[in-house]
Amino acid sequence: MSRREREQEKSGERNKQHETELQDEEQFRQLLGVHLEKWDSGIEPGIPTDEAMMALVRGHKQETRERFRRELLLFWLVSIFVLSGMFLLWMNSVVLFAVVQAIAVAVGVIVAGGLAIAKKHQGEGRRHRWSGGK
Amino acid sequence: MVGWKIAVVIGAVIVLFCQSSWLFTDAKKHSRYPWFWGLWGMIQFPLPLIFYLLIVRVGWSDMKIRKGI
Repeated sequence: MSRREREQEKSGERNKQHETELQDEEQFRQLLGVHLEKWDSGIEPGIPTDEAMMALVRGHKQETRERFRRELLLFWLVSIFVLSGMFLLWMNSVVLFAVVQAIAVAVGVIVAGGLAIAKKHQGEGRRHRWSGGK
Repeated sequence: MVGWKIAVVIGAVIVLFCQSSWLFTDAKKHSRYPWFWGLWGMIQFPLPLIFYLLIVRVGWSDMKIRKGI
């Protein structure tokens, strides 16, 4: 048998094999295709559409904005009380007002210093955790 | 005499209100304690603003670490 004939025989066999595989695949799909699709749809969650994702993001942004506005209004309400209290204190007794201011400075500086130290320690901790302490 | 006192009070109220509102709003994005900064900013000026900028925004303590101090 010449080389050409051998090559033709091999390609013929390959074609037959390919056809058999296609037939097997078709049979498999006919027998189990519907059941497999049902099973897949039961396991896999539906992929949300772009519109659904954008609506989700928009809704979340709106909710966050409204929550922030409510908190800001509450803050302004509290601020009005604080300012009124400070004003009345100033009108009644300047000395007491000065004492309260001094205490507020001391407390503020101590708390702010504590925050700075806490932030410094957090920063060091973060570096050690993620960068091997470098 | 009374007129300039009223003007000073109104000016102080405006300044403190603006400072505290800005501190509260900004601290909401960059800090865990917006109420602390907002209320301190409501009582005094300009110390809370200076401390906030140094500690939260500029990260003075982080700068010291980076410089190896």
